[in-house]
Amino acid sequence: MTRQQYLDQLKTNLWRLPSSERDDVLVYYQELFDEQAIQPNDFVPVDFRTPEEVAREVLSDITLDVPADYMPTKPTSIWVYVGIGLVILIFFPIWFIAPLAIVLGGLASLMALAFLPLLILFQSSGSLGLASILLLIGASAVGLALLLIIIPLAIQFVKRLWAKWKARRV
Amino acid sequence: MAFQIQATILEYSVLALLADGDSYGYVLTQKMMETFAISESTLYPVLRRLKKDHLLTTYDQSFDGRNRRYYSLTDQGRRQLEHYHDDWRDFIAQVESIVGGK
Repeated sequence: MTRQQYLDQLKTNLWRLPSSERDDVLVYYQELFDEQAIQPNDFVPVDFRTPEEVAREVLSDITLDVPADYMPTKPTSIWVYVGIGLVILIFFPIWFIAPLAIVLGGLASLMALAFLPLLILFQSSGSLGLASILLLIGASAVGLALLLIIIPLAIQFVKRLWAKWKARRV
Repeated sequence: MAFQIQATILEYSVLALLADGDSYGYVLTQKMMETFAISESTLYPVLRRLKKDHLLTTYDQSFDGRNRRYYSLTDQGRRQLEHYHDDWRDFIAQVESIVGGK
């Protein structure tokens, strides 16, 4: 086996090591070869252990120090992402978002009620009777009145929630 | 030889060699292999362990266009060597107390 083949095989056999550890082993062997003037295409002396044996000996010693869960090629498990997702779900302020959604939804509905009559008025061809027009104006007024009452209440509510949220974070 | 060369004895020996001065991989390996029936694959883990335990440090020096990684004893390494000297004397004395003078 040539020096080049030897080092390649050694590298392959040490794949499970962190690259810094692997490089240290390779540097050590490169130096031993350099000192004996063994060139990349020269044969490795027969008294050298095979790359497999070297790797086994190095690994059996090193794996004692490397954290047990160390796995260089292992991709991040899907469960990690699931876990992160769950954590976000649990700690995300649903208690804050949900009431806010209800308030905004209510506001939107009231606005629709207030402006719907106008929409109908503009879209109709002008053949609406007086009764219908009055009814629409009435509905519109009720919607606007409710909005005027609800908006300040809603603002107050959101402000209180915001204060509570800030207090919680501090 | 009938007696096993145990890892601690190899560590002790490397520390003792380095007590005389810094040395690089090839020379250390040669000296160790001349004395003990070990291969270079046994010695590398010994050097690595000593470094990991801060008993020695390494530094690189270029020589003749190539690199030499020198191994150097730390203060901690020197203290450890003293401990090993004591332990070794105790160990020899224990064995001698049984087999000595027979």
